[in-house]
Amino acid sequence: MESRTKKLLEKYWIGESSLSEEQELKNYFAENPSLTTEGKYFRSLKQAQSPKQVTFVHPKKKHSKMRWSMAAVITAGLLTAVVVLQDARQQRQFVVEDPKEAYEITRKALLMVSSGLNEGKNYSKEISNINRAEEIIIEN
Amino acid sequence: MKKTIIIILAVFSSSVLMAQGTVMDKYFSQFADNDQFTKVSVSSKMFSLFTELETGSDAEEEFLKAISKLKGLKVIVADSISNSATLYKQASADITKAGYDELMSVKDAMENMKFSIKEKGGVIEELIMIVGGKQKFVLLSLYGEIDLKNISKIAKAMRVDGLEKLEKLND
Repeated sequence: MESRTKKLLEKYWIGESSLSEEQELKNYFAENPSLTTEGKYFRSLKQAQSPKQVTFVHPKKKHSKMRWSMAAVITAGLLTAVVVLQDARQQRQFVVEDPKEAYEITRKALLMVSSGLNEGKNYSKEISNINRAEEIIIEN
Repeated sequence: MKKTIIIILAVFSSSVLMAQGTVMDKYFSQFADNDQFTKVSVSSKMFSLFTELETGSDAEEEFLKAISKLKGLKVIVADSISNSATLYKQASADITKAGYDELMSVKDAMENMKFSIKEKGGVIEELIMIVGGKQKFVLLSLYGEIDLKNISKIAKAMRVDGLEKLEKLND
C-alpha cells in the first residue's frame, strides 16, 4: 500500500480527512482490489455513492387498453350471467309442479290448439266447397 | 385491439340474445308481475309422467300420443283486459319478426286466431297460437317435436267421447 494511502487512511479513521481525500481513498480501493476489510469497506462505500439508476418504465398504452377491454369483457360476462339467471328464475316461477293440475292444463291447452286447427281446416273445406260449387255453376 | 373489440361485441350481442330468449319468454317476463295474466309452464318432466298414466278413452290415448314427443308447454291467458287487440297485433308482429312461419289464421266475428310454427329439417319444433278476442288474449307455445295431425285428432276424439257420454245419458 502506498504511503500516501496509509496516511489518508489514518486521517480517515480519526475523522480528519477531507471529502476529496475520502474520494481519493474510495477510488484507490476501487482500482486496486485488495481483499482487506478496508478494501471491501471502501468499495462498498463507492458503490453506495453511485446510486443505482432507477428507471421508470411507463407501461405501454396498449397494455392498459388490453386491461380495459378485459375488464369490459368480464363485466359483460357477469351482466349476462345475472340477466340469464334472473330470467331463468322468473321462468321457473310459473312451472306447474302438481301433476294433476299440469295434466288438466295440458289437456285444455292441446284441446284449444286442436279445435283451433280444426276450425281452420273447416274453413278451408268450406272455401273449397264454395269453389267447387262455383266450378259446377260455371260448367253448366 | 381488433380482437378484443370483436370479443366485446360477441359477448354483448350474446347477452342481448340470451336476455331476449324466445318470444314466449319475453312475454312471460313482460307480464311476470301482472295478475291479469295467468302464466303457466309445463315441463317435459311432467309430460313424461303423463305418458305413464293408463289411458282410458280414445281421446286420452290421442292426447298422450300427441304429447309424447313434446318438451314443454307455455301459456299466457287473460280474459278481462282492455288492450287485447293491441296485444294480439304486437304478439303476431313479434312472432313474425322472430322468424316463425304463419301456418294459418282464422278470423271471425268473435275473435282472431293465428298459428305460427318454427320448422327445422321438416320437423315442427314449435307451434305458437295467438288468440285475440274481446278482452281476451291467449299466447300458447308448444315445443318439442310436434305432429299436427296427432294434435288435430285430439279434438275429434274428444267430441266423439262427448257424444258417447250423451248417448249413455239417454240410456
